[in-house]
This record gives sequence, structure tokens and C-alpha cells, in this order.
Amino acid sequence: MGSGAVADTLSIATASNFRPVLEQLRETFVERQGQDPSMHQITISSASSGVLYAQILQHAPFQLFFSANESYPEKLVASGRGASETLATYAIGKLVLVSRSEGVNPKDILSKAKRIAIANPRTAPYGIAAMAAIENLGVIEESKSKLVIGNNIAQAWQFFHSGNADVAIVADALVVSARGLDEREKPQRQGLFAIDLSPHLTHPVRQSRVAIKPVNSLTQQFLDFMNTAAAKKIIVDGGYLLPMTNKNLKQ
Amino acid sequence: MSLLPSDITALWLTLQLAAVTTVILMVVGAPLAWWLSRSESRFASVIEATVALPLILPPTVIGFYLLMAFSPDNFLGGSWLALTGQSLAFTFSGLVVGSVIYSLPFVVQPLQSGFQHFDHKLLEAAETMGAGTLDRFLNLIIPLTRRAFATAALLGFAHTMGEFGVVLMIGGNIPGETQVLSIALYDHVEALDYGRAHWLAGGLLAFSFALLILLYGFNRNKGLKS
Repeated sequence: MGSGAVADTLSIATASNFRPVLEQLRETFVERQGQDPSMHQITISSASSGVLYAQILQHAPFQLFFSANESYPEKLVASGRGASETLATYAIGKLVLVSRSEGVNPKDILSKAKRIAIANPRTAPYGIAAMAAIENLGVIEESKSKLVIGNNIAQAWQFFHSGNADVAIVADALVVSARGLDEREKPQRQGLFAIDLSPHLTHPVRQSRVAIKPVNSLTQQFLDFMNTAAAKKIIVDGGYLLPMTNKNLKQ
Repeated sequence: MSLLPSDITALWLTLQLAAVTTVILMVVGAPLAWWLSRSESRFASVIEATVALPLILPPTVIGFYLLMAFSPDNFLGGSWLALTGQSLAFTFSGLVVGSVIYSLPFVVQPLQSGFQHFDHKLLEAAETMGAGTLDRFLNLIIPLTRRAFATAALLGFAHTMGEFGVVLMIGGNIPGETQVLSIALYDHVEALDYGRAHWLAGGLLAFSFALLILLYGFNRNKGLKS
């Protein structure tokens, strides 16, 4: 290679729901750096948060972890692997019920559903949230036999998207991202209805991130970029809310 | 710490899937292998290649195409839904379809190789003595190629027991319906439940090893010409 310094690498582990937004963030970040994109080695791996958490505990080579909950990053800080000063809530996810039939009552849609795709509640925070919403809607018993469990939320969404499940409970971000793709590839594709399930959740889906020690400078630059207005707009456009307070955002 | 009910359910489901798949594959695979062992047409090598494809294709390729085919929007999934009122994805029937494709070469290839070594003069002799087709198949071909039949059945069964990637993509992880042992194991590992994972992993290892010892012991000791 040339004369320049060795470029830092940044391997990001992200909960599957945040992947589409994170890819846009990476693109904008690299553009802003104004450098040859090939100088940057930013890779993104996605899975359910629980799986990534387990991999990081087993010393998987990630520098940054975007979880779909707050507890996994907190546990990583407690165990000494996560850098406490980088721990922050970066987004509040929206849980939505998607179906192909128009309807406003989530309870009715779940009752009429043949297959309800959700993420695995054992490893995916959105799976836990989906179960909580079904329970709060009072249809848990009749829904149990209809549940189809995706390995992570992207697979749950794909079960719906491929037409094999008629209903899914996923993160709004995936629906937003797929709508963008569908408009480009299949403009005729219609009949996708998403209902916000937030009113049926006791706790919002607060998503936290943490850097894994040691924090290299590229990781720090990326975290600083996350605080910019441009990055926040990408997150909001991607189907998330921002945390109410900025106390945890480093300035 | 011992096996929990959900693991017993997964074990039972896996045995059922392997048994159903093996029976279907023996019934479909035997005539197919016989034809392949006799045919000299160029078309036969295309069929032979098709049968062997699951050996080298990543299970994700099979899983992806099956998932697309199973969708009620498409012909296979739509027809199945119209006939049975059920979808193929996320059901035991769907897993059987996937397993039959996935384990096909493990049944057809040993049978084909057994049939190729079969002395066809015996068949002609039996025919001149008035034995019908079924009679010749049951009383001549099967007894003389029984090693090939046993190998095919054991390999088909064992390979289906170990199926993972295809089920992961088309199963939906439903206990008692599609959550087979390999999926239950994966689930335990991902949830960091290593205690339960060890039970399933160790059990599968011991079972597969025992099955192969049975297979090779059978082939070595019962040194019948086949």
C-alpha cells in the first residue's frame, strides 16, 4: 500500500432492525470524511441483539455494538468489555403490525391472521416486545399456535415479505426500508398496511449502543458523527424516534 | 439437568421427519436409481446431475427457492393451499418436501451403485421361468442388493436427522411442527443455554456415530455380494 498511515478498521455489530439505517449512516459518514471510501474499512454484521451480545462476550472482533435494547450494552459495560463513556441510547424503535388487509384494529387483525411472524423472543428484543404487545392485546392464547419465529427480525420480516406469513410484528424501520426498495423495484406492489403498536407496549423499545474496548479513532469519529443533525435525520427518516433527553449524547 | 419436554418434542419430531422422508425416498428413489443404472440416454446424465445437486448446493440455495415456491402467490404454494387449506412454509409437510430434495442423493446414489453391480442374467433367467415384474423385484433384486438398500435407508435417515440450513429458512421454528433437533440446538446456543445445547449436541453426535458404525459394520461383516 501507499505511504499513508494504516487506516483504522471499524466492524459494527447491529441488531437487524437498525441495519438499513446504519448502512445509510455509513454511506454519509464516508462521504463526509471526504476520503477515498476504500480507505475506510467499515463493515456491518447484523443478527439478533442476543446473538451479537453472546458473540461479543466470546470476543468476536467488533468495535461497536448497536443493540435493540438497553440491557445488552449495559451488561457489556458492567462486564468491562464495553467502554462506559460510549454507552448511549441512539434510537427509540417503533413496533408495528404489518398485514396485507386494511384494518385499524390490531386485535382483529391478529385474530384473523393465519401466520404471525415475529423475531425470536429468546434472543431478539423486538421478539420480546412483539410477545408483550400480543399479550397486552389479550390475544396471546389464540395467537400462540399461529406464531412463526424468525431467527432475527429481518427473517420475521422476510417471512411476511415473501408472502409466506400474512401478518408480522416487526420494527417500523424494516417497513420503511422495504417501501423504499419496493418503490424502486416493484412500484405496483401495494397493499401493505402497518399499524403502530406503541400504544400497546408498557415500555418503548429503547435501543442502546456501546463501543467495545479499546476504542480506536475511527470508532470515535463515527460516534461523533452519530451526534450530528445529519445523522439524526437519517435515523428519524429511517423510522425511529430520538431519545427525549440529550444527557447521554456526548457533546 | 436433563432433557426438557420441548427437547423431547423436537427429538420425536425429528425422528418422524427422518422416517417419513426415508420411506418416501426409498419408494421414489428405487425406481429412479434402477432407471439411472440401466439407461444409456444422454438425458440420464442430466437427471443424475439433478439428483446429485443437493450434495454440493448450499442449503440456503434450496431453502431460498423453496421459500419462494411455498409462497401462496406462487404455483406450488398456491396449489397446495387450494388443495389442503394449509400453507407449505412453516409446516411439517413443507419440511418433508425440503428433506426429500435435500436427502435425495444419499438414497439414490447407493441404490444406483448397488443396481449397477446386479447381474442382469439372473433377471432374464427368472423371467424365462415365468416370474412377474413385482416378483422379480421383491424376490430377486431386493435380496441381492440388500446392502445397497440398507445403506440408502440409513444414509437417508441420518442425513435428514442432521438437516439444518433448509429447515432454518422454511421452518419458522415452531415447537412440535418444525422445530427439529438441530434448530432447537441452535436456539439453545444462541440463547446461551449451553447446558441444554450440550444434551442435544452430544445426543446427535452419539446417535450419528452409532448409525454409521451400524452401517459400516453391516457392510463389512455381512459381506454378501450385491
